[in-house]
Amino acid sequence: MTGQSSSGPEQPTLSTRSVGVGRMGGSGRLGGRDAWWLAVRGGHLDGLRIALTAAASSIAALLVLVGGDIARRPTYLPYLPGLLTDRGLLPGVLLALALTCLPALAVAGFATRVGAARRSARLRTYRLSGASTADVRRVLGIEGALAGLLGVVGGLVLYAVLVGVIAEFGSPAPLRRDLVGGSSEIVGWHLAPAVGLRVADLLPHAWAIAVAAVVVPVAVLAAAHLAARSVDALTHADPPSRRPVRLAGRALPLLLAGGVLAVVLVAWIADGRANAAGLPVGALSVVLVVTGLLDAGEAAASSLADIVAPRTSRATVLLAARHVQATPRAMTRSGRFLVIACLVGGIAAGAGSTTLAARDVDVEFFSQSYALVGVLIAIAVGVGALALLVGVVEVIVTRRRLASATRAVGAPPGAVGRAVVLAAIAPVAPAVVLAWLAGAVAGGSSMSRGMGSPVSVPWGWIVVCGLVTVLLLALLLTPAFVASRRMARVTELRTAA
Amino acid sequence: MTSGPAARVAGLSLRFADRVVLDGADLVVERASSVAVTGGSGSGKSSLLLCLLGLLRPDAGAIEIDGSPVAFGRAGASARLRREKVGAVFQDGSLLPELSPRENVALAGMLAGLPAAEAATRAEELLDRLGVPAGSRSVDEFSGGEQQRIAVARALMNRPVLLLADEPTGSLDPATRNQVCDALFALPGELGCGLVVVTHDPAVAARADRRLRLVDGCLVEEVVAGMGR
Repeated sequence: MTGQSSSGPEQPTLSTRSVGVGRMGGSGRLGGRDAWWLAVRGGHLDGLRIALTAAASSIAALLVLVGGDIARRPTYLPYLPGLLTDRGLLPGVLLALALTCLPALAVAGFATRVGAARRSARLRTYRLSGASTADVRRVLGIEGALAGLLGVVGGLVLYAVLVGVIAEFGSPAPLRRDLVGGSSEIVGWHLAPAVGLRVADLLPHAWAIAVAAVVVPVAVLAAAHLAARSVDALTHADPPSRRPVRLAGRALPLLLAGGVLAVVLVAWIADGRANAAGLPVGALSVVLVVTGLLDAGEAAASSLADIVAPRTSRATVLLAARHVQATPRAMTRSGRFLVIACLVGGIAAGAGSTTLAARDVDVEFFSQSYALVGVLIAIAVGVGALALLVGVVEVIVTRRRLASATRAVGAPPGAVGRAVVLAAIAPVAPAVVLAWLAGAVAGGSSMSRGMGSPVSVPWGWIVVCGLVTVLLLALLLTPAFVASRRMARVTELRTAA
Repeated sequence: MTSGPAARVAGLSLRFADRVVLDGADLVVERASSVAVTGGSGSGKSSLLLCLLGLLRPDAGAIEIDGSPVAFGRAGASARLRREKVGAVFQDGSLLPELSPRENVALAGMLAGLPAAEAATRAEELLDRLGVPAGSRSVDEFSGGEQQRIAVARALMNRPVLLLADEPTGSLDPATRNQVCDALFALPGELGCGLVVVTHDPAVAARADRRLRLVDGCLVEEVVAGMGR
């Protein structure tokens, strides 16, 4: 093929600007300016990687900002003030925020690997031009830090939006009905005006900003360095196995165990022996269900693909089915965060519902507590969906040349992208819905022992959560589909593989 | 299918930034004939092919495939034209690794609306004709020459009027190159399609009915004494 380069920005950089080669000479050390330039001018693909890393970082930054702010001035954010001003509970809230922050940072680290194969080739070019391993790590570090800092800026924007929304519309508060004897019960929720909060107070405390500005970029930098272990220049990465993997045999016993356990739990609920299902059983069921869901999702999708592929007349379905078969773990690995977040969400919903159904509980306190947990779960689900998006983008990026070639033989633009998105949703969507349901049963049965009340599972609410999660997935994966159309580029066909 | 040439290119011009790649290039590809296009690196050979595929919009000029103008800028229309009238083979085969050879070939037919069973049958016929076992093995397990023949079968799936090959033997050893060339250059005579092969390899170019060289953005007839097909 001819080696012409049009304006294709994906083609890397040393051909268009002789960077660093002279500067690397004796010491083998890139100048800071050149390292910066190499980090940010790699083309659309690097831009996409930085954007995804920054998106995950911004969620982490938001959580750090909110946590820092709550720690310094608990009454500043009027969200559920009764909970945040309780000195005994404040550490628990902060811990929950920190725990939610971890998966967001993990997704940021995951995102730094997008386009790893292509980046490896580029980094190899740097090395062959005289750069040392330290130089390469420096480039990666600058990129990671840059994405982390962008994430902090994004977090500040999200924080401002959050405070602005609370100032404008108020925060959730329970609607009560007075009962005979002076007590009250919660009959619903409404948005109570935020007293004392002004739209002008859109910035978090300076201390919180300082913490976020240090913690998030450093964490992303560390994640980028970890990711660099597998993409280091001159390190040969084995191509992923494309042999179909048969998982049904291994997953079946787990699926069976999960099913039996679910039947037993439901039987306990049905005959009023819920108190017997204690925390150990609930915890065990969670472990089994998580394992079963993930393995069963892979196995079921792979088996279904095996049935569908030879029978379909739709090219997109054939591509998706064979893709699922060839790499059954690719999407479920990315979807793991999401499934776990949904499972935890289900547990919280089941536990909350059972708690509130018990007699003699502080309804207001528990309502507010579970409402706060619900917010964190919603954030975690968003982070999980983002992780899946990162996984899908990674698959699309690694298949861009094949997507271009498929388009050249007459496939409509985006056919391969559609197949990848379909292959991503098919195994994960049922697992997500099941996770909500299984979590609710496990959470309810576990909580019933401590509370001495019958298990109460909010089935309607759980089904809504499952469907909303699937819709969120579809919504989030739309940009991946659009990206796949853009990535099936003519320039790919002009470059030898 | 009309009775005119397989493809007609008139006054094709293309520039990247300030570099002129094609400068009023003209080309007629007759049915049942082959054309080899040679030229130095960066001379615009692949760009010419991508224009013929409707994937690269020229600055000026027109292209007709089987009498139908290529609609640049209308992705759906140009994709349909590629599905129905053009087949393409690339240097590395560009096969989908998770599909079997038969599925790789049948995919092109399914994209054109063929029922799965009919596409599979036709794919098997083509693979059999080109000497590649259909099987269910991954295409990664086939040799480079076999992969290229699978790519040729995929390109022939929808009985194209025009077959385009971009350095189809660029990554093959001489013996395998000859096998692929034997299969490729026999097609115009057997199927009545036009064949355009872009190549650096004089031995491959020598097999074509016509040899053109891209010089300064124009296609110039190349006459090599003593070298015929």
